Amino acid sequence: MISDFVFTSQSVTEGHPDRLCDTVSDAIVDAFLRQDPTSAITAECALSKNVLFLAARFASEAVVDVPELARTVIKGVGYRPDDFNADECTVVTSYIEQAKTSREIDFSGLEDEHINRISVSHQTTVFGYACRHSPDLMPLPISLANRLARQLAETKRRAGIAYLSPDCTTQVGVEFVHDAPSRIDSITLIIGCDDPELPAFTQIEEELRHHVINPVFKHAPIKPDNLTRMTINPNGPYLRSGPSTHSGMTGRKTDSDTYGSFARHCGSALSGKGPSRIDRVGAYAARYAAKNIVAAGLAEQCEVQLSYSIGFSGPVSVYLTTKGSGVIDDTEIRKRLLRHFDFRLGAIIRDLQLQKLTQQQGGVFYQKLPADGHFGANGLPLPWENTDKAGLLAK
Amino acid sequence: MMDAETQHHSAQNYLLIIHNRVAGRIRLKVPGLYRSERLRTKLESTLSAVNEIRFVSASTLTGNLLIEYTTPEDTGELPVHIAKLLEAELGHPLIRHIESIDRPAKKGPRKPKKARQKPEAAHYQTQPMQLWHTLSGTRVIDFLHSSEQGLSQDMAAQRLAQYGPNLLSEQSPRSSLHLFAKQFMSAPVALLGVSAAVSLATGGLADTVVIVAVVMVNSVIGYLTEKAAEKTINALGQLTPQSAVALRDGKKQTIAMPEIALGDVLILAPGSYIPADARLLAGHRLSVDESPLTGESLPINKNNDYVGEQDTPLGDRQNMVYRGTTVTGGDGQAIVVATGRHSEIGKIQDLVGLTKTPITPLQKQIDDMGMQLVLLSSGICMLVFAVGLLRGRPLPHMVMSAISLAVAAVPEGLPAVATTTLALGIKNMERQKVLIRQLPAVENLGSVQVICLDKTGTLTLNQMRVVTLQTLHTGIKVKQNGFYRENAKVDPYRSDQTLRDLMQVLVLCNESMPVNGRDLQGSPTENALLQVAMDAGEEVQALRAQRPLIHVDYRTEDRPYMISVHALADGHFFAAVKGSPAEVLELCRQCSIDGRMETLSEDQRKAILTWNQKLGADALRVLGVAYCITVEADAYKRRQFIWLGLVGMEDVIRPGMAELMAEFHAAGIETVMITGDQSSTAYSVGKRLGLSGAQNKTLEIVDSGNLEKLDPSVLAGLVNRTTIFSRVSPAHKLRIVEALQRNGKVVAMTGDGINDGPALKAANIGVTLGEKGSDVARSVADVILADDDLTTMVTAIREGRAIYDNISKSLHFLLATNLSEIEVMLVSTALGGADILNPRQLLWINLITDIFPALALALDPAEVDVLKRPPRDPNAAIVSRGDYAKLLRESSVISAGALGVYGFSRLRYGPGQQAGTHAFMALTLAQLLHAYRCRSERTSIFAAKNRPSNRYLDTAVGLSAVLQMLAATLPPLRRLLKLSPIGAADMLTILAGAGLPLLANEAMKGIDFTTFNRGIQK
Repeated sequence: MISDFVFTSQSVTEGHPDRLCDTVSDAIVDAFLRQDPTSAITAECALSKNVLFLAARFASEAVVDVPELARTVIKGVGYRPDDFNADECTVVTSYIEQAKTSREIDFSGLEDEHINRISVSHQTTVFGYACRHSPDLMPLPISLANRLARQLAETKRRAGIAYLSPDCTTQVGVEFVHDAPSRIDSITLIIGCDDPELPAFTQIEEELRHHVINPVFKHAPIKPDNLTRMTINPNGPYLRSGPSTHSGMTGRKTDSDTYGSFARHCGSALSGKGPSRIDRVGAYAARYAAKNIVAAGLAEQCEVQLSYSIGFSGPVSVYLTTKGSGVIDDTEIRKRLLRHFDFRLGAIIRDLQLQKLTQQQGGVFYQKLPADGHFGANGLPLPWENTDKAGLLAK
Repeated sequence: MMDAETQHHSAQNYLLIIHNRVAGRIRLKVPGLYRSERLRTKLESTLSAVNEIRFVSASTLTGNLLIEYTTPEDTGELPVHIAKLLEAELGHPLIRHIESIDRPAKKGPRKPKKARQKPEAAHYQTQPMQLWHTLSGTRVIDFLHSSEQGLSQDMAAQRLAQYGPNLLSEQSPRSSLHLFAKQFMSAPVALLGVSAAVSLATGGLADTVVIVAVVMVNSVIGYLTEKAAEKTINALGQLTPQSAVALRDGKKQTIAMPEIALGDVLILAPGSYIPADARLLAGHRLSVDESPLTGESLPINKNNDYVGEQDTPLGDRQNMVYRGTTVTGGDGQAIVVATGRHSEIGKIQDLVGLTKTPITPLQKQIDDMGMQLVLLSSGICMLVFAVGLLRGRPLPHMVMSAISLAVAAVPEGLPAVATTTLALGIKNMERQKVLIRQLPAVENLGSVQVICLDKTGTLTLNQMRVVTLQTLHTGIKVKQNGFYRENAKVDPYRSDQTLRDLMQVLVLCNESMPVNGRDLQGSPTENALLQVAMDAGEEVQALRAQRPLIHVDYRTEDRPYMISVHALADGHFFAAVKGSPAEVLELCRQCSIDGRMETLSEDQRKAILTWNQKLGADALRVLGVAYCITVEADAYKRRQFIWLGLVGMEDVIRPGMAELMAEFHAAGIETVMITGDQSSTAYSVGKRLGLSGAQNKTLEIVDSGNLEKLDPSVLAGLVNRTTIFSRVSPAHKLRIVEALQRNGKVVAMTGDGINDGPALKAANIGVTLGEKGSDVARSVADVILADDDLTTMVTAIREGRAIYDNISKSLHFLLATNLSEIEVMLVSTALGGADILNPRQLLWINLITDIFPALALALDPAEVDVLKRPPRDPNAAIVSRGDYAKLLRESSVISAGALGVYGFSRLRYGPGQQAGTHAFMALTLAQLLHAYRCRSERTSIFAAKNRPSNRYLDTAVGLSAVLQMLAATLPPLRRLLKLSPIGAADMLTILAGAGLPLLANEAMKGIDFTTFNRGIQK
């Protein structure tokens, strides 16, 4: 088995049209949950030159001015008006309003028997993963790529570098020796340039190194070395960026939303779905389980798989693998997992308080996830990142 | 050139007739005569030499010339040669005073009608022609001897006399004679003419008489129906405004359209209809819809400073405005440079000449089909002719029967059916308050697939209604029949002190006035607020009298609320405020909870803002209400108000609109709402209207203030499923219509604003509501709903569909019956021996079956399910390939019936007149009965309950049947048609031969329809 290799993961900044669509979709989810925490909501978004498509299906008491909300979110990203003008763009919305049913209720403090009656309405297989690459138990390549992306956005906002467009991509290659990260193989930044009068390339490199790369690696366990390949815009500067050059769509960045392809992930989008969607909250629950297993010291890495079928309240299959890194048998880990975790849809919503998060966080929670990361330490109080059950699992 | 022109139209340079009311006497004003002894002598001597002139007197004091003359006709008119002489002598044209035009006509040998036929225009001077767009504004003013203050009333009158009224040349409709002559100029009549000649040549005088009679009857009926139709159709057309605003004597005046004179200064404002060609003198952001002149659908921006080149095209002359166009925005002034026939549109009209009745695509399709049928039946006739000759029949005989067959086979009624049906439909719709302005609109109405509706004013009433009152401790829902707190009816005035205060603020801080007790006069918002207070039991007059108003701070851009201060009886002051909730809340320090004062806490402020957000998102217009009582009048400025509550209002939807939308959807017509509102408001209204349809389709909203930035092809891709366009300005409606049309949709669009003109014109059906519509909208609309009620649109669509159906029914009938004649004759020729039907009989069938039943079918009432089926495919031919197969089948059944009767009789009586007579009778009656088959493709005579009766058809068929019976029984007619008497038993055979085909055809229709239905279900 090959155990020495390089693994790359890539990420995009908040102004990348795909990511922006995720953000808009989640902003809609937030807007519904803010007014009515029991809302069922699915929102999707597509963005092209001058046109923004929004589709929303909901059962809710809430009334949301979706186009206005989307314009506000897009404006916040800070495109040049040439690239995208949020005020002037055409917004096409498609609504399907459904009547509230017995499923759209408050889940907090729900009795077990009642939870059994709430079955999932989508069929899906979701995965959760955790490993010891970093303190937040995320794979190192995606963790770094995401942090670079966030740092780029932060730099644009804070440092006021005029030429930095909100639409950039990052990639980090990590060299693994004996399945453990040993050094940084490469760092690639592709930045969109907003200013036609670009400074000299060496200056750009210097500024990005100073403002972006160095802060990210400051506290990293592994830092770039002399042999680390640094690439910035190998094909020259992108003078136009954002929706004027490429379109975006919700759910097209699921790899950087999850584990950077280091572990398996479900193909369906996380963003734009309210708590009643098992394909979103299941992924959170699986990560919650995997992270607690690793945090409990039961394994170096762990991938948890949950399969759901329509009509059942809980998963039809719970599987996990530690890929041989477990200190006890995987079967035993699964036994403990099933003892302490409840993977029924209603229980996930109840235990992770997914309906209440938006209101608790001052009205904006899900909206931050696409840009700040659904998993790992990102400054947000993500309930599924808690390791509160590690102690139970260790026993 | 310039000088001559200038001279020409100087107000002094013509001979004005001052007085000619007495026969044989005329008094003229002669320029230059004043104080000119030389001219006086010259005039008197020249004129005395003329024979007819009895007396001449020229006065150098008044400048007048009096002539007394004799005229042979004694009409009192000045003989032409004297007028000519005067004009030649003085070098000025002779102009009638405007008053003399309505001089009562004198009785005399010459008929007054003839006198009127020569238009007075002969006396008018040609207007100065200049390249006005190349001149600066001031030069134009000088040139026309006008001023920026316009003409004086006198000058205007003089100029009208000089150049004539501002009227376009009257369009003369086609003359009756022309219309009658047209009836003879058709292929079938030509064929008949040939056959008449052949008959005459072969000695058949009786045949010739019959043929001529047939031609005459056909032509008279054709003439009468077409005449009536043409009258209706020509009455359509454009509504143009009757007056314009211009400066006269330096004052703005409304002047009747014909009295606009050269040099008048027009005042242009949005919506103004431009009465004459004019050069701009001033303009501010002026834009003009020139589509009537240039076809350019987007408004053109005008600029008075622009100076054009000689060859600048009409559409680019930014400093000119033209008659017939309309101001869409901005304002300005312009000096009239050409009126009446000399305006650009007048010239075009002169070129076009006679009014032509427009031909709709459907009429053209039918005409084309008619021509093809003539060719087809000619071919068949040739075949019959050839077969006959080969069988050794005599040549003249064969020529006659071939030609008669051709005549019988060609459906002469075809073009008349379409015209007549359309005209009758227009009349019928008029009775139902649907005014049709353009002929093609009638058939388009039947195929409308999408209807675009204006929200404001069309779907909603442009009124607001309070639906929610939200104080800090309670929420009240306001419904039609009272106030509710959580489903329990409450009396707001008794139950709650805060609500009571709130109502008082709504009354006091409000400028709406109740008139006659009920009607409120004020803005929609204030009316709604006052109404809710009145509903709660507030005495508006009493309260206002009790607390007189002493000061108002109106709402401004930087102060989004209104404050009114009132004096209280105890010497204190009551300040009431209403406005934007967040700003009003800022003014407040305390709040009122059921009458108790409390200091506003942070949590309460947050709660109020959340409610505000929620109500706002619910598409409500939300106002915050507060008050304070102070010792001094201006103490309210200390901003220590007491918060009362929020008031939520919504747009009032017109009653019946939701049902109307459902009706449109049932008829397969998509509804699209266009509004300038925010998306959420639009969504709420759309939801209340049920725009998503019965199946609860998705509600798709396109929200864009800048549709013009969107690529047209992208927009075309978007519009297909869109139900609502929000934040759209009226100017963008055109883009929406065009995008829908790009997708092949037939689009109806409602609109009544000035900016709606282009979109209404571009739409296949532009609809405007009668009373409210602006002149522009009314002048370009295809359909005007005179009763101002959109629900009439359903009537219009039903009638439109019925008209198309009826044309199709008539066609079906004509084609099927004529085909059966051809088939019978083909068989007859193939069999050999004596013809089954002789030429006269063919002509007779033609006469009694082709005309009346076909016309009666055109009057068929709309079928019951006409609004339950999808609109027809606008590109489908009116007679499709499948229809031809059906026609062939039906005609074969009819022919089989007639041939069956013939065969049976031939066995009994042998070949000859008797068998032919029976076949003739059976065929004619079968054809008449076939009209009932053609009444519907969906219902049959077996289920008569499902269809409305058509008494015209019953009468027509009955009359025709009586005629047919007369032919069989009346000896002279019988002889003419060469018929034998019919026995009672044979009559039964004939009736069976006529009736069975109908039953067979109706039965087959049933089979067709069920298989068709099954196909759909699959």
